[in-house]
Amino acid sequence: MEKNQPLLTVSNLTVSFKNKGRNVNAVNNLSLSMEKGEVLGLAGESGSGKTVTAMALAGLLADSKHTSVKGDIFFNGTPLPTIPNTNRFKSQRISMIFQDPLQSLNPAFTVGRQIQEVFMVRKKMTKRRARALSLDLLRQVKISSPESVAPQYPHQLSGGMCQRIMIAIALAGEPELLIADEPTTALDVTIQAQILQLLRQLHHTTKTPILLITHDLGIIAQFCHSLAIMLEGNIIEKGRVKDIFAGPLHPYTRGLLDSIPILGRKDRLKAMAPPRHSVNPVRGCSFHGRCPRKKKICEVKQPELREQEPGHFVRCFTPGGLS
Amino acid sequence: MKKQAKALVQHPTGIIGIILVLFWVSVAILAPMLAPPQDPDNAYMMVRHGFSSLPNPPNGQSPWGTTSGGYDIFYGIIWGSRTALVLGLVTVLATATIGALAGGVCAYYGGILDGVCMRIVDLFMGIPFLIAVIVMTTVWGKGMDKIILALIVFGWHRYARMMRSEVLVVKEQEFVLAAKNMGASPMGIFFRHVLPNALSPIIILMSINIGRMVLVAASLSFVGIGAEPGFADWGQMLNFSRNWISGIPGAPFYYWYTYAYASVAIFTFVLGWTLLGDALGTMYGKQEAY
Amino acid sequence: MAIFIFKRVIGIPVTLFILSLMIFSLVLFLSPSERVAVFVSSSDALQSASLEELIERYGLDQPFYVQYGNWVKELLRGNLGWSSSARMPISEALALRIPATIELLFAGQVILLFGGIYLGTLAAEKENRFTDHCIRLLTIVGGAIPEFLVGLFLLILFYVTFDLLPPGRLGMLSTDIVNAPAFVKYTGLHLVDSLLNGQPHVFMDAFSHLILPSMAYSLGGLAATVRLMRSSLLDNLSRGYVPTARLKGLSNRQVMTRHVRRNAMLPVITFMGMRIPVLLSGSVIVETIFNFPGMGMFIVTAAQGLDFPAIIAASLAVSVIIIISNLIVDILYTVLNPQIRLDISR
Ligand SMILES: Nc1ncnc2c1ncn2[C@@H]1O[C@H](COP(=O)(O)OP(=O)(O)OP(=O)(O)O)[C@@H](O)[C@H]1O
Ligand code: SF4
Ligand SMILES: [Mg+2]
Repeated sequence: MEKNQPLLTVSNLTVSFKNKGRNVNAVNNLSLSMEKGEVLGLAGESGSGKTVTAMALAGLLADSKHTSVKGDIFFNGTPLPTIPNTNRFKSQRISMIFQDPLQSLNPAFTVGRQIQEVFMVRKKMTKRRARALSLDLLRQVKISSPESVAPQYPHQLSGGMCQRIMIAIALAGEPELLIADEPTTALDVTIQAQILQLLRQLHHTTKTPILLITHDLGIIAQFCHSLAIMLEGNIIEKGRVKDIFAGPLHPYTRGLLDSIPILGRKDRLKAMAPPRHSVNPVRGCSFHGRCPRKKKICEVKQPELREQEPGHFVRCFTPGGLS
Repeated sequence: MKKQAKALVQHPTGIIGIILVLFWVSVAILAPMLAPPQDPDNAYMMVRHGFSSLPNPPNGQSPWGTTSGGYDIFYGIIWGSRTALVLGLVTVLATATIGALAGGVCAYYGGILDGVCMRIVDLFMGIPFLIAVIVMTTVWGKGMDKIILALIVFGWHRYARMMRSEVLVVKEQEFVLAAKNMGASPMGIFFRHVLPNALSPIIILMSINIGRMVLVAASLSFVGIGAEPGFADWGQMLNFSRNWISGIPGAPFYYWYTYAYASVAIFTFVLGWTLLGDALGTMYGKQEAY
Repeated sequence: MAIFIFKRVIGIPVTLFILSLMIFSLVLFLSPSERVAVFVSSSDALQSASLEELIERYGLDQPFYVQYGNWVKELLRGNLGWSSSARMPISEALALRIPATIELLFAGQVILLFGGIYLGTLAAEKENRFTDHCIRLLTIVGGAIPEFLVGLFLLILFYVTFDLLPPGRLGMLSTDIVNAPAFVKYTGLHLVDSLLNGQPHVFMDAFSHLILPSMAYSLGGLAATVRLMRSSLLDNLSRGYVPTARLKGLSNRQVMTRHVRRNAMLPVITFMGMRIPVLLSGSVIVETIFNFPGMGMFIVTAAQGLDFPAIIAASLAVSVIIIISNLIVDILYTVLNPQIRLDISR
């Protein structure tokens, strides 16, 4: 294996949902890559396709009657199937945690059992061995008395606790990529900070790459190495966090950064103007209807993602406002 | 109204339901013409051709044959539709009125009254309907009137529950609060605001319950504790056939006519009202009505 | 768990008290001479003493609560009165009949539960495909056919036409074995006693006699459980814990059986509890059709013979059956749903 081969390469990922004859393109020809050991932030307004992208990467969306998933995903140099494949999960090294931890756990089983299950399914371990390992994991996610938490049911635990259980379940799969889809949005502010701190520590000790989806630019500033911004099913800007924060190249990103008075405010990213619904792929730049720097060409031609500065990509005809 | 009727007809099960219901209603109305009674004062007693304990196959005298005891099957089916329809309509109208009143009043005044009322409804929900009706008719004595009374006593609670939830919804709505503040009487509010809203689910329940009530009464007669012997009643006709179901050695369906007509009659009658209620329910978007 | 059961059991005497009051108040519809039969323990007692003496002895000219007290006293002594239709003390008749109905009720619930789970899962997995449509059609028709027509149909089909699965509760051979002194009646339930006595043939015989009646009277409920299970499964499949389970490496089948099905079963269990009275009503009909000597047939015979004491005692027995089977269903529900269990016992 090459040393500097990227961890993840996505090219031309397109996901569309067929609903009553209508096609909704949630992700549109998206390309993305991620380095080993990196924390990549993924931001963008509601409905821009962040969750759908993450689910497709994790293999939770497969080509079927109602869903179409097209494109190539390479993980550690090997292609991941986009066709339905339930066998892939057993050996899959991509774990995912979700926005609502309570909903993500099965209400009928103790949390200990839900962690154990990973070892028992993936490694065919005995219950006793799996139990011991799951208690270790609970300690790893900073639960001080694992023996008393393991026999609890999800609804007996707080949201923060449940998210830590979800992280433990994710870690049990020994992930080489952890996808966290708004892991703190559903939690109290104080708990949010704790969960984030936990993720940071885990990243620090294990160097597990994390794809962190969030609306919170403050979190990105504190935690992520690089950042990708999504708009209407595609990435419009990508680069190192400090580069983007210092000089956003896309007018949408510029607007986003301008609209944060204080870092770390937690409301969702609102569209600066109402987004068009991406029912039909539009001609031209997907932002032209709302763009203050719009030119003639923007309405007819879609800009490519170009490397404007080293490591800083943008999809715009007038990057940074210079033409 | 016209639009609703159209929607109902477009509903395939609704069509079948309407056809079946219309069919049985016309049979019940035209009974005296379809099967003229021998004794007009006692039209509900089935015509008898002799007293043979063996059933008789269809012949010129009795087009669908006779049951054991010589009762004319055709006559029984025709007049049985009247029995079923009258019993269904009377019990359903009575239970709906009583239940809706009880549920409406309890929900309107709320408080302890409502609590007690709901406990009673819960209790009635747990009582096996058919067994309760059997017990009551045993204690009260035989006769169609006693059966109807028992059906009413144990059949009102569903309407009460439904009416209660409808009233609770309407009670909180602004125009009702406004009407209340302007001094409208409870009766006025009930007729102007509550009843129109509650009517559709109640009608659906009534339609389905006509079938259900007839079925319980038929079950009673079927096990031999319903109508008096000879009364034109489908359940009783099936009861007469019970000994003949196994036919004779080598010809298991020898006495098919003793149970076939009555089974089909009960099934189609009940199915008609059930499908109609079902279709009404889908039409009003209240599938959970029953 | 134990606390939950305890709390649940505590309420039972209250319910039982109210129900017994209601049931005993039925005697108010009877004349004192009819009422006497509710109290005496044998037919001889009716002949040996004059009516006045008996009215005096049981306080039948006293206020209602005194009569009720006397009745409860007799009840607690195990005296439920004399059944003229069964020609034996009612307590003995009930000891024979209640187990039969319980077997039937159990079989019916098993069909509701497992039939609902199996067909519901099938329908959900093949959502909107041929199998799903077939099952839907079946449930619509099954829900609309009355029990006694299903019963008659099954009887004609399996007994009259194919000479399989005869009516009754036991075949002749097994009846002799069961009635022999060597056969210990631990519970009165043939299914249980036959195994305890080491008589697998009797078990199979009792089982085969249960098939038709239990099928006949659970068909309507089965239609509902299949529909419930189907929609509940589809609802649960869209819950957040499903992707978590899939990411663990479970196959689709395992996600269904280990995670989704268990949660989806809850509404079906609730429905089973609500269905108990309906099934008991249905037992009146199917027991009559299949000549199955349980409580339903007992009630019918008593009603035909105007056997008031038997009717009153049977009402009480049916109430007890309902209360206890409700308790069992509730316990089952809490075993499956930790949320309820913990909330209540807290
Ligand atoms: N199963 C589905 N069927 C049809 N449309 C879907 C489905 N899932 C998502 N979509 C659509 O795809 C688009 C992208 O949704 P997605 O959930 O990825 O947005 P998001 O960026 O995660 O938004 P948020 O920030 O609100 O979480 C939305 O327009 C949504 O309506
Ligand atoms: S391409 Fe044109 S419309 Fe799109 S963001 Fe750039 S300037 Fe605006
Ligand atoms: Mg999302």
